[in-house]
Amino acid sequence: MTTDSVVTHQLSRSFGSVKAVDAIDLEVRAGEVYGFLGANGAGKTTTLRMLVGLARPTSGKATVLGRPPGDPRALARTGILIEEPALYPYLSGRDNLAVVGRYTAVGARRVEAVLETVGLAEAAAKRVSRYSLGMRQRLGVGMALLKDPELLVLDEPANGLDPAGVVQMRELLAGLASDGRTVLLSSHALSEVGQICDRVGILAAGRLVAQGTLAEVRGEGALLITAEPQAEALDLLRKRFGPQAVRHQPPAIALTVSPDQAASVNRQLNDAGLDVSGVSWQERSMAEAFFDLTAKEDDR
Amino acid sequence: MRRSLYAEMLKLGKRPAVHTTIGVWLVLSLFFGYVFPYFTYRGSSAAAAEERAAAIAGVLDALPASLATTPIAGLPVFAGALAILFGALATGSEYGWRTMKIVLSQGPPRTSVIAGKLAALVLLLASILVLSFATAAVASAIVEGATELPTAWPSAGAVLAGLGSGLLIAAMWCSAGVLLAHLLRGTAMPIGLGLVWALAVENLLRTGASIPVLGTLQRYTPGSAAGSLVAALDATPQSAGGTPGVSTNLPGLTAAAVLLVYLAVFVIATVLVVRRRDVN
Repeated sequence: MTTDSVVTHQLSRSFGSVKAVDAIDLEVRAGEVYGFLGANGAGKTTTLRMLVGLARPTSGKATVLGRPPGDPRALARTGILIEEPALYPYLSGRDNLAVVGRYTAVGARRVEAVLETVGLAEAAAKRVSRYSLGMRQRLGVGMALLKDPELLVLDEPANGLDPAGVVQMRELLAGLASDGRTVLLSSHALSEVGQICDRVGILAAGRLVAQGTLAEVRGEGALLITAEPQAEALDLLRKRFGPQAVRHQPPAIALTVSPDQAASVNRQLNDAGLDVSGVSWQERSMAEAFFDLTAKEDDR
Repeated sequence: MRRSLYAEMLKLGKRPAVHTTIGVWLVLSLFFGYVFPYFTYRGSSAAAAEERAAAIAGVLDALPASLATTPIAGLPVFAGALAILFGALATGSEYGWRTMKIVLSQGPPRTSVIAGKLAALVLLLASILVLSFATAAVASAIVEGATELPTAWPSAGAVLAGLGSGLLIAAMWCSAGVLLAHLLRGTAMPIGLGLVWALAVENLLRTGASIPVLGTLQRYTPGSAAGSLVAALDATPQSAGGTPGVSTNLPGLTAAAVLLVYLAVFVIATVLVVRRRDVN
């Protein structure tokens, strides 16, 4: 039986007349990496803040590790990085972790281990005010890891990292997930999410517009057909498969059918006297799915 | 609460602004409590009887006999302002650096986080007062030797009463700083408002004390209650040439009770604000 680490039911948060989060039903399963996607201002951070008890919902319910948001017993098992890392600038990296360690009853040995994990062992004695943006981000992730949590809630953890740092962060998150931890990761970097997440939820204007595995959210792929004359090919395909299945995507035509229909489609076009120069299968990218789903919500 | 207390002690113990404020507190206490009265005494002319009498009265507070009160005589005004500063700094910076979200999302309940912070601040203030009394003891012994005025050391009980009263006053001002910082989510405004109250508004109310309503109100302000408690321990009141803020507006026990009420109100209000509030 699959258990859920995070479940929300109609979770909402309004600021005055603005609905920042609008009745979302989120479901993050234990042991998975869940990508929480959305444009800036879509409501991701507000949702995460509600899940860790930093903000109160206007309506709706949520449970995190089986308890209400902000419950000390759940927080003790949750590692959190919300928005940019919040650090004490006059303390060293090591002391910043030690402060969090004292709140969570974590000892010095674990602090040193985490410094190694996030690649800050050599800079541990340096004041945080002298850290680069990337180092601060890694220390923020280190703070989230310190209590060896069952659930990690990370808000844009790759922000400010250089390309090598992004790769390291991806490897770190993949490693954490392979240890059986649940990771709830908010991001707007679609390619990153596609590489490490098991399931995703897409948030647009405060509403959860899609949720599922990557394949489920991406939806069907399409046959890309190059045929001349193109106008006649478009007419024919629309008559045979319906206008919804056909999209003009110059210089080709995208036809939403299953890939095993490629030969049949090719034959039909040839039989109609059209000159077919290419038929290929194209998976729908995460970016396409994201923009389609969020555009629909923006049109509402 | 123990975990929060340890975390707060690490934060306070390593903070340069805290070290600086402790230094300022001790230097001001020594200068106005001992150095300034001693040099006034030394510089006074034996020929000018009135000036000489005032100088002797001034230096009496710098002798060991006044050790129970002189180190806390500044608390109704200037040291009180520094106690507000500690509370506002320790709390307001958590909003400025946005570390409040880290503090409140680690597991300890919000009430225990606040209790830990307040306990750490009380420990800090107690340490400063002990240090202040120790340096005052050394300074008063030096003044005694230099002036050759006859004096006696106070009893241990009197010194402890001074320490306890000083801690109550300092904790009251500090908790006001903590509350203001939570209400205003920052450092600058709470410090500014706290200083305006302790240094300006309290003084203005004193000048209007002859107006019946203001007079009653003024007797029960935090600064007035602090000054009354210090005066009840035999410190020279401001009206008799003592430290500004030391007054005889209230009896000692009433003053202590008023201070306890302020302390409780500030702490309870802080708990209510933090427990109910969203954190950015």
